[in-house]
Amino acid sequence: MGSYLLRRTLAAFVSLVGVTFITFLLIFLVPGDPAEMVAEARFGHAVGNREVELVRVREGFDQAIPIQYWRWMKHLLSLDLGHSLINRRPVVELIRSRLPATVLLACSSLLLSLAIALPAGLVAALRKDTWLDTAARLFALLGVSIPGFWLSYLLIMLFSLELKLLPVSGYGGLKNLIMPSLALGLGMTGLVARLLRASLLEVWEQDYLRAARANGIGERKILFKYALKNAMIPVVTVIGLQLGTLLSGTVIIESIFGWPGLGKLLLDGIFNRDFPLVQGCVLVVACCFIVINVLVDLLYAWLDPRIRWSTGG
Amino acid sequence: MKINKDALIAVVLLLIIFVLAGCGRESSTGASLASQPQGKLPAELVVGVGRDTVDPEGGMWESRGLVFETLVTLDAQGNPQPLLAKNWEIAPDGLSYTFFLQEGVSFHDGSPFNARALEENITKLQSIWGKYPIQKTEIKGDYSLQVLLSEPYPLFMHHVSQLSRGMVVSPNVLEEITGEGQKEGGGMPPSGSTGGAPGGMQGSMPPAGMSGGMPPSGGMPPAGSMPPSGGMPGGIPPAMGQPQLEGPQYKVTAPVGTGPYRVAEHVSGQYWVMEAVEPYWQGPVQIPKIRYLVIPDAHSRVLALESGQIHITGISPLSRIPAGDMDRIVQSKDLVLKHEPSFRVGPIAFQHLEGVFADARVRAAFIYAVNEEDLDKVLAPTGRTINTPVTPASPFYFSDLDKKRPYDPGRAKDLLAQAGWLPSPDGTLYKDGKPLQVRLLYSTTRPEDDYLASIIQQQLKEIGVGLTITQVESGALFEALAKREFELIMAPGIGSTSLDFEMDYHSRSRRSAVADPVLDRLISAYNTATDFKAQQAASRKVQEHILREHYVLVFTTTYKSYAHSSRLQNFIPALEEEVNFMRHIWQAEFY
Repeated sequence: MGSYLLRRTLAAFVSLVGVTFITFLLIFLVPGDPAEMVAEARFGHAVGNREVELVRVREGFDQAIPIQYWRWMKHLLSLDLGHSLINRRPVVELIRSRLPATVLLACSSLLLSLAIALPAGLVAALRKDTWLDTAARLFALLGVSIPGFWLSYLLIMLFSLELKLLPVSGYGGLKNLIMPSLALGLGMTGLVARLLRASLLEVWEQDYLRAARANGIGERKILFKYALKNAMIPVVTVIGLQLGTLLSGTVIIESIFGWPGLGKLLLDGIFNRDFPLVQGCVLVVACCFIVINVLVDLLYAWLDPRIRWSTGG
Repeated sequence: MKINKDALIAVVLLLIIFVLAGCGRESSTGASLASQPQGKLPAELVVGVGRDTVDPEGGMWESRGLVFETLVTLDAQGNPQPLLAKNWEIAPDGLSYTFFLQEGVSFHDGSPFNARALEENITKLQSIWGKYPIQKTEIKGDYSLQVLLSEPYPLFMHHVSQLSRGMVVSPNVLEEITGEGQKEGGGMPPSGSTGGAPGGMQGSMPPAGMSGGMPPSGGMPPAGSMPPSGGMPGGIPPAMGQPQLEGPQYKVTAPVGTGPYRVAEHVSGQYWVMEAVEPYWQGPVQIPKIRYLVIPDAHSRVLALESGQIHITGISPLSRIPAGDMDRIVQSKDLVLKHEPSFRVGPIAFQHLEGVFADARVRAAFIYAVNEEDLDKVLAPTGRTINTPVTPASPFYFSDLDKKRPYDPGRAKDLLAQAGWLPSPDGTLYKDGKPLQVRLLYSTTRPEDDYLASIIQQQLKEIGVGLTITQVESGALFEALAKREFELIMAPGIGSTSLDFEMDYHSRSRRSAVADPVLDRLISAYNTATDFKAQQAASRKVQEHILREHYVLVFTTTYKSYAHSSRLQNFIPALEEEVNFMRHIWQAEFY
């Protein structure tokens, strides 16, 4: 396991360097003069050539892209993500101010969706072709099909305008968390429920479960000890990917509910060509994905002992 | 029995949702909901805004007019009126301005506002006062300061009425920028995640050099809150209003002014709270607390207004109300929707230097082919077309120039035929074997602009012209303008209270779609006119030339549309610039 983790860490390092370099390139490939965008943010809308050129020289936009990238990497090696080009605050501080909200929303959405999806998927599989299965599948289909932004407005109209139970926007209390979590979680609920149902139905017909039944093992034990663990393998993969996506920020949901998360920060950084901020955010998101992937791999081994850490299997 | 177990599972699933929905505590950021009892004076007014502009990069944008004041303000006709200056004298040569200041006014930190404080602002805060050709200042008394200019600047009184060009801060919060921080934008200390310290939090002010107060991209440019364009590098003297970038730079370290409110709390990205200053030198402040709640999504802001979570929105381009939501606001008996005139003009300009539009007949033909009445239908109720580069709100507006241009497709076809564009059997115009196909470039988040582009496309099709509509991100639009790589462009346009033609129409501006030496000379004459009347006359010449040369297909103006709870009474919006929109809120009442 130790060598496996070492290999994954090295691979992660290479991935991170690749991700940051590609991001750097992409920002420069986007139409628009980065010096002008930064100058505009600093001097106001009507920037002149003089201000733009000043920014270009002072921020090093006149240098070759690899040189700019190397400069940023040098700072990174000393664990310095640099300062925002626009507001000059440390990027670490900006990310730190937004990360808790993002993590909270991601975790709550995940928990909410799992709280609904796992029982729904189980019930749908165990009561195959009954009205419960149909209802669960319909619910899952709706969850997958309804766009998050549309659901958000529906939730606001119901809970804020009609029932007057929840505030439309804001961050801080549980009441603020409910609607964005529902809006984000419902899509995932549908996906996980459908996947779990399909996976469980497939596992349910396997020979080893027939053998277990023949040995007189109870249905409950068969379900929770043998069937569910195997059925969860593809579900865990999807959950891992979804959690990574949630942690990278969900701009639309954040905007609708006034949720101060990482997604909006990253988007603002992209619009303003604020390279250090964009790079910092991308780095954090990439790290999240990599860590989650490693955790998912570890979970695989726990769920299915046949999976080994070595490449030889 | 089996059915009962299934039903039980379903009920449990539903319960999870409802328990979650019901067990929350009251949000710390959420304001009073609509269920709040009527007839009770709320502790605070909640303003819905699109983004947190207390971050240093955006200055303290929407609420800046509550904290800071200027020497003068403008009346509805654009005439300067006393504010921090109770009177002033202007020398006949236009080079000397003597301000007689209000007595008994203090900054929020307790320091007195007097001639010395004003002088310190002028000499140190170059991002504001460096825009003017100020030669020197001379203290004539405790409350009297003479400002001597090196050249006439007829718009001086108009410009100093704007916060971005004339706000006065406490000298105690002016700090020299040194070392790494000495960059053109001025270094800002980190903004605390929470405030509450006397005078507000650190780093919540517009940085020195960030005078424009323009928030980073994502919103429309604020009219009247930005400096005019700078000059070309080298050779050409700095354009009027260009910030000085050399010499010691000072930054503002805290939001301390003389206005009716101070910043009491700021939570980055979420909200900030303004608290009334007691006593305020102009009189009692009626609304003790104002909370600015950040809701980036425009539809959500309207829903929050309808739910009662916020009480006013639409106060700046960053908190615009979607036109599609206005009907609901109008139908609500608890809400009020208003449209105020604006200085904002958005020109759709031709690339007149090369290509098909180098021929003035083609430009004129396009103008004849566009029916403004159809455009007005989609622009209403948030705007309309006009026919001059400035709006009726401006003191430089001439109604006789603002004539409806005739819609005459036949005349358009004739002009195009004269220019060599002849119809093929299917009606498409051709010249030298090539069809008349042009591209309109625009960048917007307003659905009205999408409709506008589509209607123009349809109208041009009727005369055999193909129009490709390309929507790009604002950075790409700015680059296209700077490099003049476009055929038709919906330019951002400010047409602001700065009364500045330089940005939109001077060849040296990065944002100008026009490059015409004659027009440059007219704008220079306008910029250097020695008195207001002469400048007004020069302004007319500039406008006449732009119209005569058909540089612009359509001018549109956008109203300042805002909505508020009917419980907010006696609110008079200030129209000088967006940052000042709520500067009179201290006189309003909120029941």
